[in-house]
Amino acid sequence: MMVPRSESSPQDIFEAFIQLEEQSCDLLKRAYALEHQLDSALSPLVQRRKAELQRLQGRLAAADDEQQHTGRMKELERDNAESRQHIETLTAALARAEGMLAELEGRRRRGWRRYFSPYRASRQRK
Amino acid sequence: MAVSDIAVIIPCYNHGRTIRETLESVRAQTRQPAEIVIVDDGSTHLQTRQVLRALGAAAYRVVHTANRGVAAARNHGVRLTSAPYIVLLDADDVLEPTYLEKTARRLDEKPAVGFVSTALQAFGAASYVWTPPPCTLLNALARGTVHPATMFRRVMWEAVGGVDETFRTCEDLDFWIAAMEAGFEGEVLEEALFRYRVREESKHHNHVSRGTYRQVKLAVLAKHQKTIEALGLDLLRLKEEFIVEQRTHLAYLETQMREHERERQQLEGEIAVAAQRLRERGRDILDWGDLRRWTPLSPVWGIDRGKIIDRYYIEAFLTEHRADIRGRVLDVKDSFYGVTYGSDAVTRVDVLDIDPSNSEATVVADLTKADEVPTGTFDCFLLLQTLHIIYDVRGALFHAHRILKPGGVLLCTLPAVSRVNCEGAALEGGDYWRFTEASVRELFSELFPLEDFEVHAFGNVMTDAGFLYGLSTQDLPPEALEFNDPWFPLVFCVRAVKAPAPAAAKT
Repeated sequence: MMVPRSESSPQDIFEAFIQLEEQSCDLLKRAYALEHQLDSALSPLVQRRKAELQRLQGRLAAADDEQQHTGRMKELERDNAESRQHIETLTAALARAEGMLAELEGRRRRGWRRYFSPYRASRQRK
Repeated sequence: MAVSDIAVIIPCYNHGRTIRETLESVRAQTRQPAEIVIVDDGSTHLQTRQVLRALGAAAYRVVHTANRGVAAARNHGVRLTSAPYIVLLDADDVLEPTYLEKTARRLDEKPAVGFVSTALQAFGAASYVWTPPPCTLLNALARGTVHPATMFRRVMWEAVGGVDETFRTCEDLDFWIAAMEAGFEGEVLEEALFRYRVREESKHHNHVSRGTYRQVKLAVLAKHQKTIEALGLDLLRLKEEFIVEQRTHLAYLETQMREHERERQQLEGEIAVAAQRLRERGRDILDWGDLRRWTPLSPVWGIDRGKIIDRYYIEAFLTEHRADIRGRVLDVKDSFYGVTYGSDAVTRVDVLDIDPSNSEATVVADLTKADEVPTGTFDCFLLLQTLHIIYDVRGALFHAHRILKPGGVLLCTLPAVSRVNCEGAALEGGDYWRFTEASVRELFSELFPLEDFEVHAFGNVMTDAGFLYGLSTQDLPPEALEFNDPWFPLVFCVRAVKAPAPAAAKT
């Protein structure tokens, strides 16, 4: 950078200042161009894309939640079906057991009659 | 000093959309100015010209000049006032409520001080706080100086011969340097009481980017050559320091640019991944919900669902201007709006239709060639959502204006957005135009003086989309109907008054 000596003439000072001013104007112009690009284009664009990413991530999280929820639902439904099948098996077993009990009872009654019938008959004959 | 010793001069060149905010900030001052003068520096935008006429009608002092630049406009305004303290306020900037009080108080307290500035808060396209450096010639020449809304004494303006009108930019720098050369001292209040609007298309930025700033600034410096020479090496050192600061700032901006660009690229990558994962899950990128369809929910503007969205605005507009619907009223196609929204002063509602088979029609005519309808017949013409289905819009508007009585009112609405008319063979003809605010203003300015018509834009992106989808007002959140976005209008409502003079020419 040019710095005039202390004995420089006023005209030298002025010319040196104008040169500095020209540099300053060029720097200002470059700074404005960058500021303009930053403030009007790039920064708002980055903000918008950040918001877009957030939106997509939110949507993705919701989709994942829903998928997990659906998976859990399927699991529960499978459990439910198995339980229902088990209940059906048990119900069938119970029904079978009840049938057997009924049959047993019938046999017991029939046996009872067989046992006491000759006695009742002999008494009647008497 | 009395509280009413301040003049605020507001030069305005095409700042019609911001000047009201500027004025409101002046009106909200805790120390009111004695005088407010708005100087229209030859504005060319119709909207600005209309706003300035309306402000003039609202008892503001508005003076019109040919476009001679902001310096000339400022001087003109100062000359029209007499208050000893002056603020030159651009028509897009805003004062904090205590601006005048605090700056004027400093002038009251310190008679030796010629001007008092403040820190500024930038808003709009950028946001930052800037405090001007102490008011010295060294600082002014090396680093910059106070903002244009700095309060100053009239005697200072007189002493320096006003703002130099030969400069189209840097005129304020020249003014403050000239003031300090003349021995006036300035002070800066640390509080950011001045709000400076940064606009992408600002005059200053344009001058810098086009290089005219450099050219003019060198001319300003040449004017102050003697001062520069007298300040000597001190000035050069300070300027060099400033340049170093500028380089540092530039390097910072370049780093910011790189970082932002890197961040943007990273974001794009993450967005692409997130979008891909959504697709893999069979999801749309956007949740279109009920609007994921290729045809509207209603093909008839939503009438089968409830109130049509554009009618919400049109009916509110008619309600607001009920008093204008008086005397002999002309409606189109049927008398519904004239009868429903007419004031008690309606004497008769006529119905205009081009179709002679319309039994309700009392005036059968093609509005574009309606010479058979006598001039000056109607007190009010309700021309609602009609001009877009007429190819010769200008011709139709000409006759709409002609058949009004002097002082009669045209209440007109026009669509900015709408599906193609589903009535008749509109694809072949019968639906021609959609409008913008600018086209509506131009159209009406051809027939009505600027102060005699007003254009209002209603709607926003949601109402527009909803209207196209055939939704009704009931389908929208109520607050959506109250937000008006001038960049996404749905409908324009125009109230135009025919001038009492028989032939109102374009002004």
